[in-house]
Formats: sequence, structure tokens, C-alpha cells
Amino acid sequence: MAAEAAAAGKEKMRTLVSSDFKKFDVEESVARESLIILNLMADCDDSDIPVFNVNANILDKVIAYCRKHASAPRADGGDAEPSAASNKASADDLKSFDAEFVDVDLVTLLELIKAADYLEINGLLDLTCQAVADMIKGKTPEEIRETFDIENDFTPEEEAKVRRENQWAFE
Amino acid sequence: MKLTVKTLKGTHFEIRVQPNDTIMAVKKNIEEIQGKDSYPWGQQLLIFNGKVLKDESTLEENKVNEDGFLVVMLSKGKTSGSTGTSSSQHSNTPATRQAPPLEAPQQAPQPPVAPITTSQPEGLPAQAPNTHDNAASNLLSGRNVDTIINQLMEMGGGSWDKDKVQRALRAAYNNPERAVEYLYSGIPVTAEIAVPIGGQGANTTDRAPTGEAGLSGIPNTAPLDLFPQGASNAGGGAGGGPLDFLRNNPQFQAVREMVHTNPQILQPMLVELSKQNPQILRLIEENHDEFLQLLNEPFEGGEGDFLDQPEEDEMPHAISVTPEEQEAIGRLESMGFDRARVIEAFLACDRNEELAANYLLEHAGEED
Repeated sequence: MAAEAAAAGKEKMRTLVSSDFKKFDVEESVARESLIILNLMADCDDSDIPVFNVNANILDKVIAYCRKHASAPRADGGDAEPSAASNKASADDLKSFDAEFVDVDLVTLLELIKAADYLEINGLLDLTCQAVADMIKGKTPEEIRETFDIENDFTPEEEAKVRRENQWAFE
Repeated sequence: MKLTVKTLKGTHFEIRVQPNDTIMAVKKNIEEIQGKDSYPWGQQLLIFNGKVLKDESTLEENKVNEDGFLVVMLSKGKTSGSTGTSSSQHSNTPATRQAPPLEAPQQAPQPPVAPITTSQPEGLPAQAPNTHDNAASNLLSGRNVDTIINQLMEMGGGSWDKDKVQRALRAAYNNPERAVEYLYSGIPVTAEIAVPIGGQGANTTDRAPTGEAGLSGIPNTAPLDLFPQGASNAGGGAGGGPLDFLRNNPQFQAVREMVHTNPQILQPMLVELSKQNPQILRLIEENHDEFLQLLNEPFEGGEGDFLDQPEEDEMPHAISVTPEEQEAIGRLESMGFDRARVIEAFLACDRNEELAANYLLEHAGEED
């Protein structure tokens, strides 16, 4: 939707600049998904908008997320209410997009969390944090350490003490 | 401490700053290092962690430290944008709404503002008018309001009706950017209340063109005229000096109060005055010392009880109290305490009646 509007020449484009100085042209409605960029757009007139805390690779992914979510029909937007069937279809479409979106290596996922936090894109932050939570859920401490490459710096005595104090967590 | 500053061109450089330096000082520092042509401080935008830093805040307040970096970029002057909207506006509006041009005051011979600017730091006199123009260009004059209302309605994609847009604009004192913010996040109650209730808005003057009569209640729809009745009174004071009439002028008292809190505001005000009321400016220049003396006089706070209801033409007072709080103040007063002290104690104790009573009893013997 947003892309079509832009193609029709109706929507204004803004340029985002990543930390490695790559430029990305995005539609204003897409950029507005980030509260930080929304505020910067007001201050920066028509200038490029610096996003120097995010590299090009991650910014590209973030823009893809925003584009998909900006074009999704919302309950509060537009005059005509979309039908329940089309609503469900688009919700399913978004769900599968989101699932695929977070199916990335851990380093990328953590970078996406940092970018979502910095850019204040709440939907993306929730999605990526949930993905990390799912990676932790149901695992033993050893498995979690392995997943996140965490070194065990407890001595055997300390570990035994912690296990005793938090017995409920190991039952 | 050393701070890294990155530019949009892909370069970066370091500057030496103190945590308590203001953003304005940092901008001037950058201007010195990079040159006036490349980065004039008036056009700089400093960004840290995605937020544009305000000139009057300090690095410390913005939690800027050596680990982070600032981004400097130049904002394009907004004046061109605002003239664009006004020119397109003329073709859209019906002839009845066309107001006579407002350029008449500017054609009067304008005396130079030099004598007053001598006390300003270097570089400020040249910059101040630009800054002032930029600020003014964000606000709408009466003729542009309709266009902006339509644009905002389009921007909302039909989800904002005209009434909502008008309320947001009114609450934002006709600043379109602020109005958009209000439309997205909801109009704060305080902003809506702060609009003058009386017939005329606080910023409007008698000189608003007749074609815009319908808009006279909206702030910023008429040019600002500081001390409008001043010229007629000029030279009238028999006992005092030629500027004595300003002493009791409510506008001047407001200006004096503002200048006391923010001395930098004086320059743009004088520039505005030169456009709107050249006679007064001439008087001020002829009696420079007396004007400075008047400015530096201590001003008395407003008399009268701030709990009284505002008069019809006034803005509502900053401190509001509910009927319950009024009663609480009454009860405390009936304990035999002075009303002013009761109010002071009540507000100091965060509007808690018991705490205020204890406070008043503890300090009953003390003199003010």
C-alpha cells in the first residue's frame, strides 16, 4: 500500500543514513513507524535523517519490517471497515512475515533489538524480545549458556548454594 | 572531555567540551572549528541518541558523555517553505477573505538598532533576527490557517475532522508541527484550557485586518505590537523622563519580566518593535540609558489573589485549585492563619491539608 502510494507519486520520500553512511529512501508513512524518526522528520526539514546507531544491514531489515507493518490495514485507519475475512488473512500474513523475520542468527537478532530500542519501534522491539524469550523458555541453565555463549563463572560450591537457595526453580 | 561529532558527509571530528556546557555553546564551538561557512551555529542541529538537543539544555542534562557521539547537521531555513504556503493560499481563498497587505508598518523609515545592540555579544545581532524569523515562520498568520487546516485533514487521511484539527491548532497556538503532534497523541487538557476565553485572544491586536475578523480569537493571527498605546502617551509624563509612560504599561511589564528571565529575548523583541512601532523604538534609542534603567528595575509580582477566577480577557492563571482545595484553604484560614501563608503552606505541602496544618502550627511563631 505504502509502496503503491509512493509509486503513484503521492507520498513523500525521506532519506535515512546508516552508521556506515549508506542511504535508504523510504516513504514517510514507513519512516513514521519509528517514533525517533517521526520526531527527527519534523526537525530535519527535507534533509537526510541520520540513523548513526544502526548499520546498513540492520537498517535494511528494520525498513522491511516497517514497510510491511505500515502497509498492513489497521482497525483505526480508513473509513471503510475491512471485512473479517480479509482482516484475518492480513493478520495471518503478518504473523508468518514476523516469524520469518526473526528467524535469523543470534547476533542479528540482538542487533535488531538494539535498533528497535534506539528507534523506538515498539512492535519490532516486542517481536524481537519475544524471539529471545522463546530461545530461553524451557531450557536448562546449561542449554541457555550454550545458546547464548555464556561462560559459567560459578565455582561448584557457589552453584550448589544458588541451586539450594532457588530450589523451586529446579523442580 | 572530548566528544566525537559525526556529520552526514561521512566525516567526523573531535571537540573539547565541559559537561555543563550548553548546546548553544557546543554549536558555537563547532562553528569555530569547522568555519562559519560550513556550519553556522544558527543552522546547526545537534542530535544525540536520535533526539534533537535544545539550545538551552546542557550536555549533562542530555546525558551526553565521552562514550557517545553527536551528529551535526544543517537545517534548511524554513522561511522558504512558509512563503510557499502563503502564495498558494492566495489563489485558493475567496476574494472576501483577502486581507490588505500588512507591509505598511515596515515602509516607515526604520531607525538603526545599533545603539541597543552594542551591549550584545559579537555575532548575536546578526543572528538574532534570523532566529526570530525562523521561529515566527513556524506559526501561521490568519490567511494561512484555512490551507493548513485542509492540509492537516488530508494528512490524517480523513480520520481527523475539521473541528478536531482546529482545536489542535488552537491548543498549539497555531504551530502546525505541534498541532500534528497533538493530533497523533491527543490534545492535552491543559493546552486546551490555556487558550484565552475572552472575546479577543491574548496575541491579537486592534490592528487585525477587517477581512480576518472571524479569526481574531485565534492566537498569532495578527502582527505582534509591543506597547500599542505607547506612542500616543509618549512625552506625556510631566514629572518623569520621556519613557516614564512605559513604567505602568502592562505590555512593557510583561516584556521586562521576560527579559529578566531570558535576556537574549530582548534583541528579537526590538527587531519586532522596529517593524510594528518605530516611534517607540526611536524614543528608546534617544533615551537608551533610561530604557536600560527601566528594564533593570525590579518588578513587583502581580497583585491580587491568584485563586480568584480570571477576568474575561485574561489567560487562566498557572495555579488552579479544585473546590475541595478551596474549602481546605478556607478551613486552614479559619484556624487563624494569614491567607497568603495558608496558600503558600498548602502548595508547599503538595496540597495536603493535614501536612499544611502541621507546617503552619510548627511555624506559627516565625516572622515572614
